[in-house]
Amino acid sequence: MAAIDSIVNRYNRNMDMERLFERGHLDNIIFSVLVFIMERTLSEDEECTMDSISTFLREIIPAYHPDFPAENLRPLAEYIIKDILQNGGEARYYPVMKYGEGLSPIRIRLIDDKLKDSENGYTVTYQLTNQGYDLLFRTKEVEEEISFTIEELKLRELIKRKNYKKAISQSANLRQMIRQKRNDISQFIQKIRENIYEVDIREYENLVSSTYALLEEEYGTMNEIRDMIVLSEQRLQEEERARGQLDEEMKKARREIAIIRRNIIDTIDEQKQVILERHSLAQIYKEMIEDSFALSLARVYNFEQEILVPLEKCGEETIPRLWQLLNPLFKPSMDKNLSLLPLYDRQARIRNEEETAEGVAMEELQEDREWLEINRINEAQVALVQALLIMAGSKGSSFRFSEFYAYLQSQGDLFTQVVQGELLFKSMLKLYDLNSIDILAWQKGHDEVVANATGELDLNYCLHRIEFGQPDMYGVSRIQIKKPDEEMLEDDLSYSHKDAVFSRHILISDFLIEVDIV
Amino acid sequence: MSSLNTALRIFKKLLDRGQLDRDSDGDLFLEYRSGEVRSILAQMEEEMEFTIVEASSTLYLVPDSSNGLLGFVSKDLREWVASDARLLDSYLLCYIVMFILYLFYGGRNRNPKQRDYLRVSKLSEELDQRLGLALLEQEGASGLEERYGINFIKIAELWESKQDYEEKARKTKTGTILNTCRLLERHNLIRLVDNDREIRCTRKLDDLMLNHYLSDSRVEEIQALFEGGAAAHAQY
Repeated sequence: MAAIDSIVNRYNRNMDMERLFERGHLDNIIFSVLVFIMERTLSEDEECTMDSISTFLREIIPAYHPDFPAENLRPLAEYIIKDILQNGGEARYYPVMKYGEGLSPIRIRLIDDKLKDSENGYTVTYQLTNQGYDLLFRTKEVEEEISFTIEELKLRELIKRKNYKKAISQSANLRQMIRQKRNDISQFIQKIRENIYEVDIREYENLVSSTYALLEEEYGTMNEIRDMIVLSEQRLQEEERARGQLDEEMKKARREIAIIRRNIIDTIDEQKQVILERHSLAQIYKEMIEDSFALSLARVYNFEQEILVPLEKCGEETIPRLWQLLNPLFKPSMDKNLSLLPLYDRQARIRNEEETAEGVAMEELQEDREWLEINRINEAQVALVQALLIMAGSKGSSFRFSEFYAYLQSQGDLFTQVVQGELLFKSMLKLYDLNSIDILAWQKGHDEVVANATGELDLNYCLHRIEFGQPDMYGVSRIQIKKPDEEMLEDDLSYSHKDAVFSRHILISDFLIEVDIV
Repeated sequence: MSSLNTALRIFKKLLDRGQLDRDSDGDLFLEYRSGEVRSILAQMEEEMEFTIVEASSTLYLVPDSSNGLLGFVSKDLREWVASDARLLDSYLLCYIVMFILYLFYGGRNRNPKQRDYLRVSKLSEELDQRLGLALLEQEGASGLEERYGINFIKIAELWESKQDYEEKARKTKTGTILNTCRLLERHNLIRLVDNDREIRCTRKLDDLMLNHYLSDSRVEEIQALFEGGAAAHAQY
């Protein structure tokens, strides 16, 4: 009932999709898809993917809806598999009354999927779960526990009555059933390995004790059936010897017996495998139970209450520590502490600039303000070096710092940007200290490593940024900063920053800036 | 080989890959069960502030929450978002990670894992809803008592200011989710499948969540983090 409910009273209804079908049609299609998945699951070498389900739908949909648009087949397959049969990935429970114990929820899962790493990325394959098989077989009114015996009895009777044609399909049924058992076991093993909580001890006991007891018994019976087949073949041979030849009817019987024998041998082989697999299943289950025993005793906290809600109330002082929530899940990273490489690493990536979405003005946290200030300084330094190159490129010959200073003053915002925090003067002293900016040498030797997270003048970073927008570097090959005499530049400087006015008296050497042009 | 050597070999493997699998390193995996080896490793765990989590057929090295030597720190998190990312961006990233974990493992049944996969579109809707509640409170329309911090309202605004989707844009809602997922993917915690439309947990995430992260023995540590008790060890 729970399984049927999960299909008929499905959640996640997509009405656009549902409206394409008349009442009951989609339910029929879903069951057909389940049968298709079962057949694919039971066949040895075929996998059930979303593509194969779409192809299957293409074959059957015309029976319901002759004009169904082909482009909707894939979305329909995804709707049936992901939204309905997998319930959008969410677990679906149904209350089941166990008399004496009360109502308890059981999880309904008719299909399961596996992720495979393939050349073209990840592929998801689908297979029927035990509940899925249960649903399909019970709708055929076949009880799982006794079905094997019934099918076997039918086969025996058919062989006795020499109804080989029916016996072929009967023996194929048996082979399919044993494959289903093998699938059950491999799914069960997978389930144990993935998550021991999903496994019910009763499920294990049922699978191991009842199924295997049945199988061992049936293994003997199947051998008897094989003997019956051998006997039938012998009878045919005797008949052939007595008559000299076989009529058409008997030749057909011989062909049919050969097929039955192959099916029976396959079934016996598979039975043998299943019986052998029991031991590995028992071993794995035992180990997993042992491993998880300690944890079963431990309780699980309420994730929402302990993590999400505090995270939503989190104060400014806690935010820089939030990485601690991730630490227990992330790979340990010793490299950053032990390796020498980080010393040479760029400390900030070249930004992948994107348009910032227009949105609310955001207040910054304390640490953000520091971060933004460093960014502002970096931008100002790039602008300063760029202005120096522009002037050098346009003059093409030597000039004094006082000329450059006058040029900057004429640039309005740029001047305010570079004089804040005395950046212009500190940077000139740094450049004088470096003596020269050898652009040609830099262009030959630089790689993409750019370090600039501290706010200090980093020529490499500035040149890199400038080159990005101006590959010819304004035609300048080298700039040298010299102090040929004791000439000074003196100025009273004032600028406003964040509603405050700053005044400075500046006295600095009037450097000579020599320019080499390409 | 002495127990010390074995313990060091196990430690080296764990440090290198973060985990040691029974399938590929069967001998070392079994050696871990030896009492002496375990006791040496226990000393390392204590001194170097990490825990070895044993789950199904794998051992994992898990740095203690505040272990900045072996683990991740705030700067790494922020730089993952962008070189010019603000603390607010890393807060949002962390919230999205925790929200993903909540949607997968927030179940109150015997098995806390409550879903097999999560669609990116569904996650975006759920985030809209959850962060939208904070905005409602700010507008005074929720009728609920105040439950959100001012900083959380800022990340709700940040989220709300993002556009839903735009091809290859990192700063949209989908782009922000995918960027977060890539971080988790890099640490082998999730897989993005179906053309980046679906999030699936790896076995490693299942193992770590079910065998360690969700254990109520960690509650004190988590509470200390939010109450500032772990501040002494914090590395910003």
